[in-house]
Amino acid sequence: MPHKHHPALAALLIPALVLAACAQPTPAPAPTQAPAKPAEAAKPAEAAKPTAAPLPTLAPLTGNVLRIAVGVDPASVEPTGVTGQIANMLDFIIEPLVTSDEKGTIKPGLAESWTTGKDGDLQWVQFKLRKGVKFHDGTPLNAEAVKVMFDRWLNPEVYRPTKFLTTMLKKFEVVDENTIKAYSEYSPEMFLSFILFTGFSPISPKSLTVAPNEIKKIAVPIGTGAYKWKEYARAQRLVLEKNADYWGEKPHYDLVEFRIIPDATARETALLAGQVDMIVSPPAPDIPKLQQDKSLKVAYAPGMRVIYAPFNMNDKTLQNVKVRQALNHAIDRKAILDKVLFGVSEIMQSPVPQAYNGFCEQKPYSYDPAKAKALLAEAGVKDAKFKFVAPTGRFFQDFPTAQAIGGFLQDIGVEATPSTMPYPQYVGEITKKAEESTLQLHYFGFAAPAPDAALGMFYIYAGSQIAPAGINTAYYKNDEADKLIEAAFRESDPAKRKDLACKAQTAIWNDPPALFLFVEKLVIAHSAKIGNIGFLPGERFAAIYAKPN
Amino acid sequence: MQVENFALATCNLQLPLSYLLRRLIFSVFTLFGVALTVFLLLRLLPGDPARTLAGPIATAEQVEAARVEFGLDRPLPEQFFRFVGGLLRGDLGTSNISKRPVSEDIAARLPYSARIALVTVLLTAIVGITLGTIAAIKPYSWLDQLISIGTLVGISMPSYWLGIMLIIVFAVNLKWLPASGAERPESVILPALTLTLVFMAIIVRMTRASMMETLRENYVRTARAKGLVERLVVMKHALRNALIPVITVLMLQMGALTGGAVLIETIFGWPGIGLMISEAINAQDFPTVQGAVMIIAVIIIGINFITDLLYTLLDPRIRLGK
Repeated sequence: MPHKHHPALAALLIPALVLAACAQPTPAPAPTQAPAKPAEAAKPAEAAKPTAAPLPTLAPLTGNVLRIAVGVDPASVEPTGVTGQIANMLDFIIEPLVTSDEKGTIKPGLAESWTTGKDGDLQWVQFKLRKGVKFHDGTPLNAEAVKVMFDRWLNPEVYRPTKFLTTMLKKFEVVDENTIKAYSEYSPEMFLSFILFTGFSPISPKSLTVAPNEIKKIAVPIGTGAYKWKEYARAQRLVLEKNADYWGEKPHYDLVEFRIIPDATARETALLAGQVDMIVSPPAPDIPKLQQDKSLKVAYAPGMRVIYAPFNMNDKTLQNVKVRQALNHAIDRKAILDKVLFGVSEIMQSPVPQAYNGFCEQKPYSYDPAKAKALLAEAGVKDAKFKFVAPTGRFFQDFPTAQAIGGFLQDIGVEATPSTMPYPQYVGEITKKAEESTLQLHYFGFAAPAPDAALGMFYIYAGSQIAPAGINTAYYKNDEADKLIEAAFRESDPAKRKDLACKAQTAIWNDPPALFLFVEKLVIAHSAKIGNIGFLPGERFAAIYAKPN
Repeated sequence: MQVENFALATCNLQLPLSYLLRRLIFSVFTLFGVALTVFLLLRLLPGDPARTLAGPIATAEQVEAARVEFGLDRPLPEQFFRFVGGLLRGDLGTSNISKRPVSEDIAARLPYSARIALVTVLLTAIVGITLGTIAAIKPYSWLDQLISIGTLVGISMPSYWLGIMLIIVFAVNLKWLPASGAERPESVILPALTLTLVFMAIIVRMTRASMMETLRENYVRTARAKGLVERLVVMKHALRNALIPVITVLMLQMGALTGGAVLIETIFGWPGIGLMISEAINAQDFPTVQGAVMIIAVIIIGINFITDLLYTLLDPRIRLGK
């Protein structure tokens, strides 16, 4: 039977497919920048409204552009909810009342000075704002504008990442046009550490009532920063342009392009190909090679994130402090740092990172398998078997580190081979109620919203934060540490505060709720042709004043 | 003769309406099945989506508030019917992460996926059909063996590794093409080339087999007997008929590539829909996953439907049930 094939079939199908694939509605105009002139301040955010139509092909940016490859798409830029790289991008646009240097020393920001005091049970910080500062839409920065920001913070309908933050600010009052007073239950030092948080940055009040912004949610932040929001192309790039009316030192680059490249290897190849000038978090195994490349520079931020392996304090074996100390002595942290982490971390010297305000160095848990075995024997533990889970790809070399830990524990007779699971499942597993948990050991990382030792201990070690109420996934309760942390929260004298925080760190360190492992550092790599790039607390790079070498 | 059949079928409207209706109904059932499957599979995923949405340091109250806000506290049947009701109204819901309509996010990224799929299919067609035809004309020769080995090497290499290698050669070392992104017209070349090298083997082998079979047909023998030059025999008479199954596979490949090129989109930073789905799954952003999967299902089912429809129109044997 002869085949009757019909070439007309192909003739119909292919053009139909071409039309279907190539057909796009007339491209909508790309989002434009908010107008800079005060006369056009009536509808600032409208000009930046994200388009609903499919995006047109983007034109490559030309001219004096700083190109930074980031791994996260700033799909949601609500300041109260952003962390990490999105907060870092917003740092170019919005500014807090106070800022800090790399060491965490608080410096004036939009507030040129401040005073502190007490009023009954509350402590206050009174900020004197800089004069003559304007938002990108021309609205003046004044106490009323800061009031709007504080109002948002206290508004329960505005998203914030943790309830504790809402207790930070009790009330506030406008003193005069450029002075505002904020009251808190907590010490001014802690409050000032907190107010570095991107979510505390003032936004133009006028812009909050213009689409696409609304009081409850900001889609296009109009701040006072050195750069303004220019264009956002979903999953491709965020472009900022220089604020010609900026009150401070003017940056060098006219445009900053945050190119969204989720994959670390893809970011690295973009840097090597010269498509971008700087990348965040290159692939760990390639860091040594990048360090040797003379055309590049690799830089490390002060570590802000503790990497630790919480125990399950509900487990009878682990309730014995000798067992937990034994396990800490079983780990050769130096070997892991060299062979698994490629030197990109620091060994923990306290329950909080070295860079935190109030850090106190503790006596290290030396690598001593003999001592570990002896402690286990004293505790009457033999052939222990622990269920150990770790995520994959969530933290820097997380699963490989967990595997190394499993190996070291094996050497002292403790069976703890790690398993892994997808991160959402993992979080569900480690935040189960204590009586439902089947784990003895898991792997985690945590960076506090502000680089404060008391705060850093509170979230992950305080009794009130035991999961699922909070993120104390070790189900750890140390009454002495809890009292000291609470007292440190409220102590106004910095020296006394540090002393309280030190004692709390010692109490926790000697009664370890976890394997104290490493402090993770943010790593960036950039072209050697560019300089003046630094870091800010909170795992952020500082590239606003980057310039060619 | 073939063109006349097509004209007759169309002009006389010899369209099997009952067949079309059946296919349409089956397509609707298929889509319903896809919707149910993706809905259930997402909810079977381990982990608490409310916790994921609220964030790792959220309190239990905030997690419950997120559960209510995103409708995750409703009974499953209610959640499903709300989802299906939205689909019928053309409403794919709102992304839990970006807080934008899912349809907007998809509309922004689907054209990029379609672009990669189309260029890949065209490249695969041109190169694959050419090599397959050459292999069929000279079967079991050294050329045939070389083509076979070459295409097998292509399909054996992991696409992720192959893509990185192409980036290193053409973007990093030669600086001929961009390493990532989609802003330049030439940005599509490396990702499409990577996929072509991986998928070409199927097309080469299918073309080869189909051509070899067609070249054995009586009418081809007749054409040769009439003294036609071999080039005309192959290109004018045999190739067009041999290509029909190949083109069908190419079309299906295009549908699959539209939503399935996650690895390629990842390493090339290509803002396509595959990567969007992958990120949404990790973030437990159910509306985005559901909406995107439904759109891809519609595309694939639509391509299948059109293919079958056109076969029916053009091949009387299928239409008349012979």
